[in-house]
Amino acid sequence: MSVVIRGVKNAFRNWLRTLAVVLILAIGIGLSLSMLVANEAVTAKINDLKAQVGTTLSVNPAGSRDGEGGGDPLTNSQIEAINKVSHVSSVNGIADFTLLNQDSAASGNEMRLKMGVEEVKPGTTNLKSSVEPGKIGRRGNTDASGQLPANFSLPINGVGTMGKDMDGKAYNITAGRTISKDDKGYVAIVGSDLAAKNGLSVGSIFTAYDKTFTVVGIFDQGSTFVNAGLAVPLATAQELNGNSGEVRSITVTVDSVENLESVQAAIVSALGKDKVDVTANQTNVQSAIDNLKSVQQISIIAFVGALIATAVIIFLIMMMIVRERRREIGVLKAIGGSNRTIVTQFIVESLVLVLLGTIVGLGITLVSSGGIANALVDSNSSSDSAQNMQSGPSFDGGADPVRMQFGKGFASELESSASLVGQVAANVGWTTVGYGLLAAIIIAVVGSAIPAWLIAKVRPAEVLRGE
Amino acid sequence: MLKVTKLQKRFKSGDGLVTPVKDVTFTLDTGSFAAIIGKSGSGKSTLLALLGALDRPSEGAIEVDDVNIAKLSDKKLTAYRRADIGFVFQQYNLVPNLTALENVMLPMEFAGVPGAVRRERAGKLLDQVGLEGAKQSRRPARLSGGEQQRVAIARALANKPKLILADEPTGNLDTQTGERIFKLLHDLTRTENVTIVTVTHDLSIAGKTDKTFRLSDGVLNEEKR
Repeated sequence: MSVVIRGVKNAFRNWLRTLAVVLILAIGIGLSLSMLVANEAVTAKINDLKAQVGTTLSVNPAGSRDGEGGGDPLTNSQIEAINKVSHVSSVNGIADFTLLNQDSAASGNEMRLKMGVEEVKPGTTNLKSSVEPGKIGRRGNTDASGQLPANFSLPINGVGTMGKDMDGKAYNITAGRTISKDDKGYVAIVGSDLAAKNGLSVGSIFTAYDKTFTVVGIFDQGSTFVNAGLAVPLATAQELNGNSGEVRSITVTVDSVENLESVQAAIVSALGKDKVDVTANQTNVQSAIDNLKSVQQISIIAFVGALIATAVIIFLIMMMIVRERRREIGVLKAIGGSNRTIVTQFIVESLVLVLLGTIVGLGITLVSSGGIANALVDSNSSSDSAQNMQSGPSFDGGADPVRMQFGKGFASELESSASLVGQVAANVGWTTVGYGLLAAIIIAVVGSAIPAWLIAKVRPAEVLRGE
Repeated sequence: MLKVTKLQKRFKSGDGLVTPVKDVTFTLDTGSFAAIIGKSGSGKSTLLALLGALDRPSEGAIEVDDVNIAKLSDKKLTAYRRADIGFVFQQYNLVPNLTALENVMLPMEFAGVPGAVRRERAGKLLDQVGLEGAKQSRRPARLSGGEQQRVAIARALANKPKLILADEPTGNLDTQTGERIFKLLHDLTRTENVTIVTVTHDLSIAGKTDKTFRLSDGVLNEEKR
């Protein structure tokens, strides 16, 4: 019989005690693993929220949005100023223009121009819109009998860009390449629907504003409206629409969600509050993330605490067992057992108890981790929501009409951080099992080696006491 | 041969210094059987612990075949106990969750004897001390006191020691069983050529050994026959 088998047998000397010890350890290990799982679940949720909220800010002229309102247009120099703000990953300026099919224009169709700060100079093109007029497109464009003019084609939206679309997203290029901030001249990327309608591919040419453009890429942004448009370099668009050096809006990408607020303030400070409006829909998300981070900290502290408690439990149990077998240790030494053999025997015994505790603890983790994670998140989010109700926006004075108009922000502010967080999905993966086993081994070795070693140092003459 | 010279053991007890073993000197030939008698607290168990390398002497020498074990390191003492000493205790001190066979195999496991060899030898030793058949697979709790002491003797013989130290081996047994155990030990000195030192209160048993020593207040004197 080897020392290992003897250690295993010793673990089951007293079944009742083994059961009690395993249950106590299982509760400790189960609690610590549940906290680890909760931590992983909350971390995943934080990453999910960060991915959802994005890291972009919209910069518009103070007092205007989407070509409506007042104020001074944004400029290229403001793009350069924003580029110098810390934590800004990239800046994208947008200048737009509108194209009307040349045959449609020749048939007497008038182009509806945007009103406001950007006085858009319209242009003609040989392309036809890929969007069918439908009921919306027919409004204001039909004659008294309700008929559209001959050769009617809806205007085509063109965008001058430094590489990203109006929402700050990179173009999803399906053929060729995208537009970069260094591009100049008469090159364009074309939406997939517009390209299909006009038989365009990479290398094709078309005309706009009496210039000949070469298609360098085809994009698909997943939207029929956007895919019916085209994009050219920012400088080219500014040349075409006659507003040199002016941009309609600027989209700023920040390096992380945590820095959105500070970058927003820095841009306002750099460009002037009377010059720009900088908007981001991140306040509640940041609050939700802050809540989750506190849960993350609580779960880590609880994980370490439960682990230490488990180590102390096994330490005390092994101390008790070792003291109880003090005489037996003396006998083992008297008949030639080395300190190493005796310590190994107790480590094996402790390992068996802790591994059994870990197996039962994993079962407890499977059952309880989801509930624990959500209970932690709920308790934090509830207290946060309660605070928001006390200090948050009032519904009595009426909503801000501008914010209502632009759709974002107000509704989002009503959304509490709790609803943003929703349910936290806790999964017990192999990594958790691995960490659990590693922790169990460390706990078992530390918990048993110290008392075993203390006793192993005792002289074997102890065995003759009381003889 | 066991040669003990001016052996002394002192230790602190309360405010004073206690000397349970004072200048003990004696010699035993290989294969002899000696008994140490004395009152309770006279230092018998302390002397036995010193002879068995369970404790270190304060002064003096214990030579087993010309090796002074008082000077050995802890590691070498462990090896000495494993290879050269066999212990038999009054309360048997068998490991309770191991069978009789496994208890006898234990010292051989410590000595690195292969599993099959130690199982065979343990079986033979148990046969030799009179514990045969199914009883070898029983745990100590299911054996009588005499049977447990037989297992303890077999365990003491496991690694073919030069010296067997027995601390009142018949103290917990009835007279008849005690005499059988004593006879068993006595026979071993002839068959195994092993030296045995036993501590006992029983003068009739002591009288049947080759030499009897009386320990009184830490001083050892040989009893004249």
